[in-house]
Amino acid sequence: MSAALVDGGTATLAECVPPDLAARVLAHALRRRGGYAELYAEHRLSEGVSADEGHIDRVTTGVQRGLSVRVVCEATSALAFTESMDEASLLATAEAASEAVGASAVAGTPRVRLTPAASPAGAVTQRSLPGPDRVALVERGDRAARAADPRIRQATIFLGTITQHVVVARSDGRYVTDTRHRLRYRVQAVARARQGGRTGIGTYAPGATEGFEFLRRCTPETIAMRAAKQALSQLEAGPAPAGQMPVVLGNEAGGVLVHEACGHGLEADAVLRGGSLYASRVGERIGSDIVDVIDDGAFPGGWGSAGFDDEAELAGPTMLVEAGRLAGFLCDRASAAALAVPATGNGRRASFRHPPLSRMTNTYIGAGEASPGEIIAATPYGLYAPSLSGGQVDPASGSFLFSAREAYLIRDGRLDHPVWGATIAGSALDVLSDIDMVGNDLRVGAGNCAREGQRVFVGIGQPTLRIARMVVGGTEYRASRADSHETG
Amino acid sequence: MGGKVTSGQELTGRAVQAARAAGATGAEAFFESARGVTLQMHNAVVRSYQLWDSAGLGLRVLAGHRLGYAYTSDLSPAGVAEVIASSLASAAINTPDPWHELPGPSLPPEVPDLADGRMASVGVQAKAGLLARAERAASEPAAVRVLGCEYGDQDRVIAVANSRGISGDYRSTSAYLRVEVAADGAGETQAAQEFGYARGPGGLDPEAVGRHAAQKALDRLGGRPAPTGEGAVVLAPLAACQLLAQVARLLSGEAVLKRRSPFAELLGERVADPELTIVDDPLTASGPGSRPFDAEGVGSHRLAVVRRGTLASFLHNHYTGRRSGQRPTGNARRSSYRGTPEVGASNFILPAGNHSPERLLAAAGQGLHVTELLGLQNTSGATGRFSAVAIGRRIRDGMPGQAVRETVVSGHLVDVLARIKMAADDLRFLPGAQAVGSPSLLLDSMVIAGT
Repeated sequence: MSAALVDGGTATLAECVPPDLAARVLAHALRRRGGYAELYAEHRLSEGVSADEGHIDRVTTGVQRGLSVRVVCEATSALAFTESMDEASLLATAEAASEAVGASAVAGTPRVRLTPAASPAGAVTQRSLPGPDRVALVERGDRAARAADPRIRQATIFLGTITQHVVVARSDGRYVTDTRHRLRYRVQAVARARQGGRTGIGTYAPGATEGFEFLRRCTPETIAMRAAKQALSQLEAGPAPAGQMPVVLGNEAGGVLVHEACGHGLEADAVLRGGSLYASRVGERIGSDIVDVIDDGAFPGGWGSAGFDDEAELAGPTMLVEAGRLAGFLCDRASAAALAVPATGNGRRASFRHPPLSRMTNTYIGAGEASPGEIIAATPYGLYAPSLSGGQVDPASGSFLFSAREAYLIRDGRLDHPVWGATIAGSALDVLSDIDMVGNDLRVGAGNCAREGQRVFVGIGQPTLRIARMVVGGTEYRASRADSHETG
Repeated sequence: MGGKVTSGQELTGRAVQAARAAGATGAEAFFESARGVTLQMHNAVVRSYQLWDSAGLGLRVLAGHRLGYAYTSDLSPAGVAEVIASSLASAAINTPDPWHELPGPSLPPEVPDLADGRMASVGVQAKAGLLARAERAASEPAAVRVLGCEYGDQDRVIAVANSRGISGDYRSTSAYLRVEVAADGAGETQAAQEFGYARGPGGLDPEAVGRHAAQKALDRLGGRPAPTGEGAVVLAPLAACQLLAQVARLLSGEAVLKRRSPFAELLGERVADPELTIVDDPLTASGPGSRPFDAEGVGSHRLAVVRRGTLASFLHNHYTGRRSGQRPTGNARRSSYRGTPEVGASNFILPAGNHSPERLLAAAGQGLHVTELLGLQNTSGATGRFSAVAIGRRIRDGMPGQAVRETVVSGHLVDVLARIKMAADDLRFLPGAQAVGSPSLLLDSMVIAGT
């Protein structure tokens, strides 16, 4: 909890692995064979405060610190790590990685020279906050959620911050340091009109790669009200319609759709393994001409933002789909080399214990011109889903299913009434082509993405969108039976 | 490894003493170390080696009724001193809660052997050999491509000590194989994966894993949406485990206390067929979640969750058991040393029946045979409603028929238990944060939405 610990982290990591030591470790890692070695050191401070049932119930602080060495030799790579930061442990770690890829004989120690580069990441103004002030921020959200409406029966609040310092050094000469301050504030509100009545649950959890200044723009009260409104809407909701219809996704749907239905298929390592729908389709039309899809590791404040990626490549924008045509893939260094394209700054890892994979950073559908109101007004009948609660995609076939957290029936260009239990299903190959209106209200939200046992922070976003045709799985045919269990 | 066990126990003991000396009225230290290797193969070449050797400490302290928590991967004296200071600082700003208390020692149970002593002597080349065999078996059918193969193993040591006299440690090992394939058919591609799990590499059957992965992908080709309506459903073991994992989640004392469970009011009530029993068994030799004590150091025992159709117990850790006025059941669970003790099952098991899986299909007559469910993680805790994409085949006249796709099954978890009519003899475990074991199950009716 102490500020000393945060600053101690910075000093400790940079001092633990200065360029001259990093160069010795990398040279040691290449003593046997192998063309490329890389060192990744990390110090991560995680702090969390949560409230439930009207009082603070969990306060936690954690430190993880360690360093991994990866050696790449032709098609094979090996990664070993250590949590002890003394020179002997670092050299032993280099030795272990080198042994795993190489022959047992030592060929000779090459010379490695490193040139330090500073991170271009933007300034974070308020990096830390004393424990009691964090508690006060959580209590504000708790009070606001309960005060929103007498039907709000429960609220759980979580405020978490992560301060991550990294050092990446590569045998081709690059040495970078980067610091990522992340903050997330989550409110879950539970609404119930009466004992035994239906339960509505609302969740709103914005996050940013920023300091506490984020909560001055996006206050605990606003976050709590948003969660409460979502929960309350479900109490008045009628059954969802079923069948094929236009679906308008609001900007808080947060791009779950583009992330799940399209983004994973554009990760270059999946493309190279032959597990992607999009392999060998660069230049082809995969969406309607009003659709751009962008991944931007430097999106200001984005939950997946950083100065450099976890392989010391500069973070920045990559065009994935441009005016409906497939423009490129998300690459880590190895997959970029295999595809003979430049690395795109998408080499990311869950921690120093993991090798980099091709991952999304902040992935979003670019803004268009229509206002959200115009999109709804132009829709005679359909479903409006301001937010989705996640879903599932089958990567090979591209078919997906999402649940709407909050949804409304659109009739005659107006929101008619809220509906509950709506699911939307479709196919990734069709959905981008079926987008026929794109709003001007881009918002990039926060999410966690897990793949191959590695969980990374990602920004996911979109403006309000209309998809001309989607299958809505309604509640009508099952409403009578499911309702009888609504004991909450 | 003997040295490591001692060091875990020593470290937790010293941390508890030091926390008491620093002013904690109660303290609990949880140590976890894991070492192992992960190998990935593609086209008979090992593409990636990951060597694991990791350890960390999580510390819970009480300052009166205030609870604090901190963890660290830095096990140096300075790191341990820092984690003690951080946990006390956390406690100072937490709300006092009189239900916080650390458990006292309990009787040690008879524990099956959880470590494969031979694992350490199996070299990396032999492990790569298992992958090569799995990959070969999976690529046997011409239409199947192997997307990836992974082998991983782990040798873990857990130690827990607290200021009320608990002090223990144990070692467990595990190994897995995972094969991911794609099958190309007329104008479509279907992917599938299969895994194998054992205490050590010697217990894995690489050919079976590869063959089953290929078969699963081939089985999915040519699928069509099933007709919409209500029908009988046979859940294959893994699909049944997926659904039971959601049931286990909602039987957690934490969910019940906070009224986020549709089972909250059903303790002591009939919830299933009088033949049906569900247990949480941390002491079964075959269970991936077996352990001699839980994440708070409470000695393991077998717990009847549903006994002859009646909901007999929720799952509790020390806190939720005491606070709900029931008894702690030894179900404290931590995701790792980084997490506080929550509530979770060890091996949540619906025991095997004595029918063959074919007998269940015959009894279903018409309906759906579901091998896998996608999207269950969206199950609502407050209501228990779920809907999930079903992978499998239609059942026609008691036999497997047309493969299905874009088909959604939905229902309610309380209702699902009541609809289980038969259990087959093919019990299988789904390893995970909470291990679940189930045979094939026949449900007399579920809502199916397709065409």
